[in-house]
Amino acid sequence: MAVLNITYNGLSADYDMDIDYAASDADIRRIAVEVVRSGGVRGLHIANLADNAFRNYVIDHMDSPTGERRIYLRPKVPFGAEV
Amino acid sequence: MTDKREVCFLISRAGAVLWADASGSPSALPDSRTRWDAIWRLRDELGEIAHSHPNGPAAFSTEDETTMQALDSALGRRLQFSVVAPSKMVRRADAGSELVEPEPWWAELMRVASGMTHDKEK
Amino acid sequence: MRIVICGVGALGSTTALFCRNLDATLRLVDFDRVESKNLQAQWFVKQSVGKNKAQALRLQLQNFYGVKAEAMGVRLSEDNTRELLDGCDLALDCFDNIASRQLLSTAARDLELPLVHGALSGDGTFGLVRWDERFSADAEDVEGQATCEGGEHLPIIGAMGATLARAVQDHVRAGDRHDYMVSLSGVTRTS
Repeated sequence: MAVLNITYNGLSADYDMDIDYAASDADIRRIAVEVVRSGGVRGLHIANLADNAFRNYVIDHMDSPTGERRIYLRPKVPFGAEV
Repeated sequence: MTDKREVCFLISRAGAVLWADASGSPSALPDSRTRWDAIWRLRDELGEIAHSHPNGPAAFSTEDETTMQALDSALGRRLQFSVVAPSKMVRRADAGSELVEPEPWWAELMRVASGMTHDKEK
Repeated sequence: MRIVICGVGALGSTTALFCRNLDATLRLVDFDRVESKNLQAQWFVKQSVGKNKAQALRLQLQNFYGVKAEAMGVRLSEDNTRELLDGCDLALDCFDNIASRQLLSTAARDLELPLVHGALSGDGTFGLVRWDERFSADAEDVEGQATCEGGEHLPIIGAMGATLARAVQDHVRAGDRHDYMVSLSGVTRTS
C-alpha cells in the first residue's frame, strides 16, 4: 500500500494506491493521469486530462516514521541558462 | 573575481522577496524539493519567480520554459517569471518575453547575490 | 447474461480465454481472418489460420473447453451496431482503432449498455482498462495494433487480458466498474 500525493491545478490531494510492486516513474505518471481522469482523487477530477499532463513532473519517494510509503508527484523546479 | 552562481527569488504580489536559494553553478539551478516546498507553502502570496543568468542570456532556456509550464499547471494559475542577466531583465510575456524597464528594486540585489556586479557593464 | 467482445485480436482473444468460465454467453465480433503471424500474440492455433477470427475463436472455445459462444464475422458499422449489441448485457471494446471505439461508445451510450474499454500502448509498455463513463477517445488514445506484431508483447497482452477479464468478472458479480493501469511491473486500480 502507498499513498500517492498529486499536486495539480492548485490542489494537493492523496490517493491510496493498492500497490505491491515497485512502480516506475513512468508508471506513477500514468497512474496519476488515470486517477485524476476517473475522479479517484477527491477534489481533483479532470475527465479530459491530457496523457502527458505530468510530463514535466518529478516523483519524490518518502516514507513516514510509521512506515507509510508516500509518493509525491509534483512539478519540476529547475531553472538555468543551460539548454 | 566573485564566483558566479544562479540565484532564485520568490517574490510576493507586493514585490517583497519571500524566499531565496542559490546553486553552486553559474548556469543551472537544479531541481530542489526544498524550493518546491517553499513555492507551495507561499503560493497564496506568490506573484513572481525570478532567477539569474550570471553569464546571460537575457532569455528563458528550454529548461525554464518546461519548468514554467509545470508550475502553471500545478498551481492552477499563470505566475510571473523573470530572468535577471548582467545588463538586462526580462519577464515572460504572452509571446516570448519582454524587457523590464524600469527594473524592480530586487533585480540589483539578485545581481550582487549572483556575483554579477563586476560584469554589469557587459 | 450475454457479453459481447468487440475485436478478438490479441487483446480480445486473450480476454475471451480468461472469460470462458463466466456464467454468461460470449458474443465475439471481428471481421478479420487469422494469419500465421497472429499465432505469436493472439490466442489462435495453427488450424485456425485462414478462418474468420470470431468463428475461429468460437470453435476453439467449443473444442477445447466445451464453451458455447456466438460469432459475428462482420465489421462494426453504423448500420449493424445495434443489431450486434442487441440482447447483450455488457460490451467489451478490444478494438485497436479510434473510429471503431467511438462507434461502439456512441452506440453503447444510446442503448445504455455498460461498456468497458481495453487498450494497449503502441510501445507495449502499458495498458488501460477504462469504463466508458470515463472514456474519451481522442488523437492521443492508445493504439493496440502495433503491439500485436512479433509476439514480444505477449506478457503485457496476457496481463491486460487477465485484468480486463477481472474487471468483467467484478461487474458481473457485483456491478462494480473499476479502472486499471497495467504495466510490466504490475497492475494498479485507478478508480
